[in-house]
Amino acid sequence: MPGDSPLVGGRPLPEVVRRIIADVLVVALEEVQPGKGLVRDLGAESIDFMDLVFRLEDALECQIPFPRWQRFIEATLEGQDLAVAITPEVVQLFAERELAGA
Amino acid sequence: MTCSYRVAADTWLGLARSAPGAPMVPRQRHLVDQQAAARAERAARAASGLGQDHYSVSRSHTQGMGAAVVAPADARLGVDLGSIARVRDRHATAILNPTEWTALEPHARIRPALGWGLKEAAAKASGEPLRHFPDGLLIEAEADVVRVRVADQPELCFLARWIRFGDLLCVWVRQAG
Repeated sequence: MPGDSPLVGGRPLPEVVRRIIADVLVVALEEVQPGKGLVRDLGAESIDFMDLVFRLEDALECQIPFPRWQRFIEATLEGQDLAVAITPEVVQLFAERELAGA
Repeated sequence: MTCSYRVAADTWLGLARSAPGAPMVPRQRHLVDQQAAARAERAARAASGLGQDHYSVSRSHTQGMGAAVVAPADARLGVDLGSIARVRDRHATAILNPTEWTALEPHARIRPALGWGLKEAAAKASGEPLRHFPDGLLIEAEADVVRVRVADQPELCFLARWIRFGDLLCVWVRQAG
C-alpha cells in the first residue's frame, strides 16, 4: 500500500528511490520498473552502486558506509546473478532498513 | 577494433571496442559491452595459445569497450575498465584510507580512478568481491610497484599494472608469485 510507505522529504520512499535510480543511471523514470535488473536492464556499472548509496545518504540524511550495501547484497542475494537480481525493490528494501536504523 | 598484448611472461591483455552506432537502450548497451568483453577474451586467449579448458580469465567492460586478462588455468587475476573522469574524490574517500591515498600520490592525475580500479580488480581476483570490496583490500606502493593485499589473508597479494586509453583506465592484478 503506497500509504504505508515512510515519507522522505515529504515524498513516499519508493518514489524517492525510483527517482534516485533514474538520476544515477541516467534513464527515464518510466524505465525504472519493478523487476528490472539494474545492471542488465538499466545499464548500471559497479561505480553506479556507490553513487546510489551516496544519493540515499543525502536523501535519508544519514551515513551509509558502502560496505553496508555490500553486506546487504551478499546476505540478501547470495548465489544469485546480480546483473538481474538487483532490482528497484532490492534498493528500496535497503533504503527501508537504513531508514529504520537511522 | 580488437587487439591483444602480452603484459607479463604468462599474462595477456585483450581489448575490444564496439563500432559506434545508433543510440541504444541500456539493455542493448549492456549486451554490446558484454560482447566487446567476450571479443577481448578471445583475442587474449588466441594470443596466449592456451587451450580452451586451460586458462583463467577476468573481464570488464564500459562504454562500448571490453577488456580481458588471460593467464594459465591456476592463476588468480582480475581486471577493471573504467572512466577516469567518472571516479570523483567522494568515491576515493569512501574506498581508500589515508595511507592508500598517500601511496598513490605518484599517480596524482589518475589517483581516484586508479584507487577504484585497483580495488575492483583485486576484489574480482579474490574470488569474493562482495566480501572484500573495498575495506578488505589494502593498496601498497613501493617505488613503481603497486600491490593489493587481502586484509584477512595477508598471504594473498596481487601485483597490479594498468594502461590508460584517453579517459579509460584499464587496471589488472595477478597474484604475486
